[in-house]
Amino acid sequence: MKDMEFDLTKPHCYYFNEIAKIPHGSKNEKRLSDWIVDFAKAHGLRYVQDDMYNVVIYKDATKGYEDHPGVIVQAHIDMVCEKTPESTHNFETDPLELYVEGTHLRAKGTTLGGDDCMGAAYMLDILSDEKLEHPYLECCFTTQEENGLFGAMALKPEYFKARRLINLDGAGEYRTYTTLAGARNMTIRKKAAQSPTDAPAYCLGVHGLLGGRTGDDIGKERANAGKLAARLLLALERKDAAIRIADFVSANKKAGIAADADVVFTTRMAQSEMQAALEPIQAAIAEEYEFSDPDITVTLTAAQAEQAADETESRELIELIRLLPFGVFQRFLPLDGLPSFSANVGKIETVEGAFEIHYAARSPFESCMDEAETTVSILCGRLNAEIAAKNDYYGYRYLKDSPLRDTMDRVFMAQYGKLLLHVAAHGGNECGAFKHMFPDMDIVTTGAIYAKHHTPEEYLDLESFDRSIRFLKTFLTAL
Amino acid sequence: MEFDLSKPYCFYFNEICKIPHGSKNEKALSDWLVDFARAHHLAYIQDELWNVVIDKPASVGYESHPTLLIQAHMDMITECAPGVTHDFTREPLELYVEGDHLRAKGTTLGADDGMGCAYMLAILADDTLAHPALECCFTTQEEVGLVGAQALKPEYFKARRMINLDGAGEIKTYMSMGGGEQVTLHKPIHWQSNAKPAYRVRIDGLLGGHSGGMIDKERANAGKLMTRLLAALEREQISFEIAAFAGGTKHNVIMPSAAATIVSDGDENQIVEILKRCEQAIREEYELSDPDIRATVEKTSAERALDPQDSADVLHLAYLLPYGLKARNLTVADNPPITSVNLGVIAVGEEEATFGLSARSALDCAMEELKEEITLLGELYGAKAAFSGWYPGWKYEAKSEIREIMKRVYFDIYGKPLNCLIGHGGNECGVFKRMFPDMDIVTSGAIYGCIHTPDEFLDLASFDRAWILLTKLIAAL
Repeated sequence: MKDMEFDLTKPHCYYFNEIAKIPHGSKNEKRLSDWIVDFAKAHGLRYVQDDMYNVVIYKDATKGYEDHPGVIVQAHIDMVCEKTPESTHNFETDPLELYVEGTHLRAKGTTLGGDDCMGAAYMLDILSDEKLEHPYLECCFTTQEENGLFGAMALKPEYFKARRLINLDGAGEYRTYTTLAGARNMTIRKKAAQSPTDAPAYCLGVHGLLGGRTGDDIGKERANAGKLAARLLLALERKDAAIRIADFVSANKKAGIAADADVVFTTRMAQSEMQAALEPIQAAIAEEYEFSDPDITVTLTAAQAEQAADETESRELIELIRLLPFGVFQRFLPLDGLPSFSANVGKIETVEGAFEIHYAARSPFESCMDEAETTVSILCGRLNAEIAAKNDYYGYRYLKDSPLRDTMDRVFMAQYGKLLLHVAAHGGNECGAFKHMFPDMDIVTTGAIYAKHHTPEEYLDLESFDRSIRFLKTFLTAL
Repeated sequence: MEFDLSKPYCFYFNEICKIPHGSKNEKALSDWLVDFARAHHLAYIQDELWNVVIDKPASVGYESHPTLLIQAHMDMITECAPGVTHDFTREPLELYVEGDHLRAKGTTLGADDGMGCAYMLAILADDTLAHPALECCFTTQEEVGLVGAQALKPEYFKARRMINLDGAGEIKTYMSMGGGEQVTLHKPIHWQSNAKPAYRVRIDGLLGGHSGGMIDKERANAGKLMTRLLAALEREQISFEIAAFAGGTKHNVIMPSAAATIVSDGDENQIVEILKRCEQAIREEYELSDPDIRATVEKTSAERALDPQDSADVLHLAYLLPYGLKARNLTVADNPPITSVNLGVIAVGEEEATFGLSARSALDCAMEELKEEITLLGELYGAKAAFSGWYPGWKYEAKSEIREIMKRVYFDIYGKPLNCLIGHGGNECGVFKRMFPDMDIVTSGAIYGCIHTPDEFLDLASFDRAWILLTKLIAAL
C-alpha cells in the first residue's frame, strides 16, 4: 500500500507540523506557548497567557452568530516524552522527525505528541479559518496535563465567558465522553524512627499480580499487593509475631494498582511458625482471586536488617494499610455499572524516618473525594499517621440533559450516518477543571483517532485527522 | 385450574398441608414422613432435629449409576393476613385455587418448600420412574437459620451429586449461593449531662431492601449517610457530641432511615448550612439509584450526651464500617456479588452502642477476612465483635457435570437454554458443600411467589411442568 501524504496545504496538518518543530514536553511548554501567542498577535486575536503558560485565544462570532452563546474549545499543548532505547533524541532541543507509514503519522524513535497536539492543531486551524461560521470562541491551550493536569487546574474563571466546552483530548472521532472521574491524590506519612535490631530478618514478598491503572482497571476485582502484604502481616501479628518493619515497598509508580510488594521485617517468631500462620491466608487469597488475579505468589525468605521501626509503629502501619479502603465503592447502574467512586493504595515506600503511602480516590463527585479524605484522616488520627500532601483534579458527572451533546449527536448522525458512541469512563481529563469553575458547564469531547500514546509507537490516524476536522467545523457551525 | 389430587405430587402436597409444620414444629410431619417410608418399605433415618432421609434403591438398569441426593426443607414460614386467626400449631391449611395459583386461605401456603417435599414423596412412591439410587433428604428449621441442615451428619449420605428443590423456580438453576453471618459490635459508652443546644438530624426516603437481593443495587444506607453528615460537621471544625443515634432493626436490611441527636455550641446557621450542603452532595451521588433521599434537621433538647471521646469513637467507628459490595464474580453475566456487607442496625443504648452488620460471601475465606476487618475496626475503638447465625456459602465452580446434564435435559424439553444464576442470599446447598466439598449441586423446582407472606402462591401449571423436568432429569442421571 502506498503511504498516505501528510499534506501541509491542509491547515490542520500544517499547524501540527509547526508544533512538532518546537519541543513541548510537560513543564517545557514556554516556547510553544509563546509561539501560540505570536500566532494570536499575527491574526489580530485577543489572548491571555498566564504564568503556567496556559494560553486562551478569543475569536468573535462570525456574522449571524452574534447572539449564539459562546463555546470553549480546549486541548493541552504538552506531550509525554518517551523514546526507543536506540533514539538519541533530545526532547529539550530537537524537533520531532515526522514520517508517514500507511495512513499513520509517526515520529522517528519518539512519542509523536498526537496526544494532544491533534487538538491544538485543530484550534489553530479554526482560529485562522476566515470562512468558517461559528459562535464566539474561547480556544484554550493548557500545559502540564500529562504530569497531573496542573495547567488546567490553574486556569482562572475570569478567562472564560462561555458555558459550553468541546474538549479535544482523546475521545477519538466516533465517541464522546459523558462523564469522567476526578481524583484526590494523598500522601500518607506514618512517622517511624528506626532503631537497631538483632532479631532475625525476613522478607515477605507478594508478586505476580496483574496490577493495572486506577481509572480503567479498578473495577476488575484485582488484588493489591500492598493490601495483601498487610493482610498477611496482620495474620502474623494475630499470633504475636511482634513484627518490626525495616522496609515496606509496594508498586513502582505512585498511581496504579500495586502489582508487587516486598516487606523486610524482624521477628523472634520461628520461620516454620510463620509459614503455618501464613498458609491459610495464602489459600484464601488463591481462592478469592482464582478468576480475577490468578497468579499471585507469596514468599517468605531470610533477609538482612540492621534497624527497624518499633513494634507499635510497625503494627500501626500494618493496620493502616490493612484498613485503607481499596476498590470500587459506588457504581452508576444505568451506565453499565461504571465505577462512580473508587480508591487505590498505590506506591508504598520507606523514606527517612517514615513510611509513605500514596493513596488516590477517584470520582466524578468532589463530595466522594472528601469522604475518601475523611476516611483517611480518621484512620490516620487513630493510627498516628498524617496526610502530608494532597492534590486534586476534578471530574464531571453524567448529565441526562446536555443540549451540546444533543447537537453533537445530530451533526454526527448527519456526517457519519450512525450513532455517536456515548462513553462513560472512570479515567480523568481536564474537563472537570472547567466543571469545577462553572458547575453549569455543558461538556463534550471529540477529536481524531490516535493510539499507542505515551509510547514511541504513538501514531495519528491521518484519515481520521481529515474527517474529524470536518466534523468539528460542521459542529461549530451548528452551535 | 384444578388442583388435581390424582397427580401424586398434588396429592402429597395436599397431605403435607393437613399437618401443621411451621419451623421448630416439624415433629408431626417428620413422623408422618417416617410412616410413609415404612409403608413403602424404604430405609430411612430420622434424627433428633426431626430431619428425615429416605433411601430408595436404583431402578432396573441404574444400579451402577452413582447415587443422587434430592433435598428440600419441610418447615414453613407461618404468617397470617391481617384479621385472620390461624393456629399454626394445630390447624390444617385451607387450600384453594385462584386462576393458575394454589393458595391458602388467609395464611402462608408453605409451597416454600412443601413443593420440594411433595416432589420427593411422589418420586419415592412411584415405582415406574427410572432413576439412580436416591437419598431424599427432608430438612427442618430452614427458615430460622438452616438449623436442621447444619445438624445433618455425613454418615447419612453416600451421594456426591444433589438436586436441591428450594426456590430455583423451573426455568433457572443456581450455581452458587452466599453464606452469611451476623456481626455485632458492642462499644461501651459513658454519658454526661448537657446544657448545649441540641439538634435532631434525620435521614429518610431511602429505598432500603433485603441485603441478600439488593446489596448490588447501589442503594444508600441511612446509617452510613448519617455518619457522613456528622463527619461533615467535624470536618468544618464544628464541635459536638452525640446524644442519640439509632437506625434499622435487622442486620440484613439495608438501613432505610436513621436519626441522630447532637449537642453543640456551634453556630446554628452554620450547622444547618453544612448539613444541607452534605445532603445536596448525597442527593447528587445517588440521583440514579436512590433518588428520594432526604435529610432534615430541627432544634430539640437533650439532657445528656456521650462524653466527647466516646462520641468521637462512636462516630469514627460507624464512619469506617464497611458497607456494600466487596467482591463480584466477573466470570459470569451481570457480575453478581461474591462478598458484601450491610450495616443494618445502629443503636446507642444506656451502656453501650451497638452496630449490627450482616456479612455475606460465597467464599468462606472471604467471609473470615471481612469479619477480621470489622473486628479490627472494633478493636481500634474499644468495641468487641460478636458473631451469630453463621451458615456456609456455596462457591461458584466453572465445571459441574450435573449442571451440564440438567442444561441438556432442560433444552430438550423447553427448546431454550436453562438460566444459570448466582445467588447472594443463602440456602441449604452451602451446608452440603461444606460437608462434602466434592458435592456437585443443581437447584430446581416449581415456581412459587410472594413467599413468606399470606399472599404466597404455587403456580400449578409450573408444578406440572417442573415435575416432568425433574423426572426426566433423574432419569438422565
